[in-house]
Amino acid sequence: MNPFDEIAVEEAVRLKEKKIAQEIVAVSCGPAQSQETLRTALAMGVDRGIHVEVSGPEYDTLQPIHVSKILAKLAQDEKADIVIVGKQAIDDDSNQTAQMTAALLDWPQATFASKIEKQNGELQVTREIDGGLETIKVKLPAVVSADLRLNEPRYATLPNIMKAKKKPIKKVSPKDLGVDTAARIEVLSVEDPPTRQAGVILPDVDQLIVKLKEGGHVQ
Amino acid sequence: MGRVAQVFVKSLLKERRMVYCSTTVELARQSFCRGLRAFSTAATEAKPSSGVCFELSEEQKEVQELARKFTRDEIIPKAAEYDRTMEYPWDIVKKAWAVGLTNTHIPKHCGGVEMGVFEGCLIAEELAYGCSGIKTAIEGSGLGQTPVIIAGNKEQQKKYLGRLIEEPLVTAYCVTEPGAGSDVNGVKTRAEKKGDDYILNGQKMWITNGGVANWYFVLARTNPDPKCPANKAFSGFIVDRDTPGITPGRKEINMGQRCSDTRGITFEDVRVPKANLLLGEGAGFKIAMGAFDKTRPPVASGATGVARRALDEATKYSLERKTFGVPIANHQAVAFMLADMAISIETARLAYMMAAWQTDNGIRNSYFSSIAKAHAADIANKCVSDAVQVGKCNTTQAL
Repeated sequence: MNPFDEIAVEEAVRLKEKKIAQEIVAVSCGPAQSQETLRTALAMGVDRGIHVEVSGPEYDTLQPIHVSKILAKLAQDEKADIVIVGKQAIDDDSNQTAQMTAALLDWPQATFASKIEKQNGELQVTREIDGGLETIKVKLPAVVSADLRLNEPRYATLPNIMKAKKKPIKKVSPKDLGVDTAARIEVLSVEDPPTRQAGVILPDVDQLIVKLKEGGHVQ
Repeated sequence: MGRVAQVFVKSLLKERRMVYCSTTVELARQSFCRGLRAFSTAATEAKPSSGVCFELSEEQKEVQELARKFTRDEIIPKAAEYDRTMEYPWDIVKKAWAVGLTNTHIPKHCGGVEMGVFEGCLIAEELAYGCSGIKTAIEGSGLGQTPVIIAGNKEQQKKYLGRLIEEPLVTAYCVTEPGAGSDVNGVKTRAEKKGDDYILNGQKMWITNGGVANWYFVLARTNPDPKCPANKAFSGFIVDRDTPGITPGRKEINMGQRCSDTRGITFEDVRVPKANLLLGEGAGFKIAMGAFDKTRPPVASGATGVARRALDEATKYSLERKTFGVPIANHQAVAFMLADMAISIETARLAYMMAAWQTDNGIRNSYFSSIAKAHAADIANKCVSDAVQVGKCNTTQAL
């Protein structure tokens, strides 16, 4: 499971333990292996899973925009009050899904959450931003994205792994949800970064300036 | 032929449009008897097999993944420290207990998950990958429990296994003595019946978890007659640690697995109630041997885990260290060593999986479990030694 999503699942389970949340539904979009990820989530304490089956070339070009549309539709169908996701996936580092999902639903968003509290029917979220920490209040329903320091995910204990086998996973397709997963990008090429060239050790700063001028880096 | 068999034979022949003659009748009768045997509850009969499969089930993969993650996050960072201090790794044992990686064979009626030996082996291989001393601290408790799991009555199981589910306690298996190891028949600890109790006297040695266990399984001689055969002379007892007269010796310093608690234990007039006798007088040897069939595979899998770690560390080092301008993995002598390590690990794994699968399917596995244990232990020794050769000083540190 994407590490940030693991943190999101852990937070959802903690919200349920604090009786702030009643039911947790985990969603994963992908090929058959996504079921294993959902089973881990179920073993951590999620109540049920939804597997949106996307495989083959369709999966290779699946983008955050598609996932956001899927999550938005499911959030409406399931009448969710909170959608919590990891802030970004570690394969593409897009950091887009939470924001786009909120926009599609026209819900408030609280991204990069490092602390979540419920106060008077609203969520008070502390966010990690470039300048430090920002605390905001968002009305429910809302979309939240989890950052690294939100919590430390629990182990899925062995007894829970066994109990998770009985929890249901519903299978749906993007078409069932009315989402078009046609490719919106085209991969032109994939290359290694250029191999690093050996450096040169120079005796003094004057030589350095000469070299920089020669290379056209300095006028 | 019995009435039911006759009806079966006639209908089978009719179904297959076979002529009723002596040959077909005999074939049908055999088929009927085979069918009967499949439903037989005799312990030595194998359950019908659905064919070999070399893939782990989804649940087995999840168990393995959990053990692997736990090892990576909890054991590997602390292993070197425990090896240095030789302190019993209580905090890791307690965490493993909280996550459910210990006591996996305890029956459901005691609150356990009642998993098979196979899953126990998967866990043991991963834990041993982190540190075999810590793995032994956890598995040694499993060894002590096995006699109660296979031979205990419901009350004994509820009392002594239930206790392990409620609190992170460990057990120990006390059979070996200063004068008797492989020769279990040479056990001299005696148990004399006095009224409704047994009085134990003797010395046990090399007992894993001897100093930290909450209760012991103890094998003692109940029949003092030296001519009495081994399979009638011994009895198995559950002995509470806090019974007066039990004195664990000093912690022995092991060459490896240094944080594992290994001690001698002296039993001086230790009073054990009749209710703690397993099965009956004279059943001890059978129980001890039955326990070994269940516990040899995890020992083999632990050795495989150690060997795998040796290979991984050696491979990592050989890709980093350069001699003559290339990583040493490019030199054939090193490459061949790594390849041979890989061969030995894969074969050891197949051997322990076979042995574990057999016992989980009700097949007597003494032959394969002995093969697995001997093979895995030998290759682990060789892999570690080879890894040290590949890595010189750096790898010795890690292992």
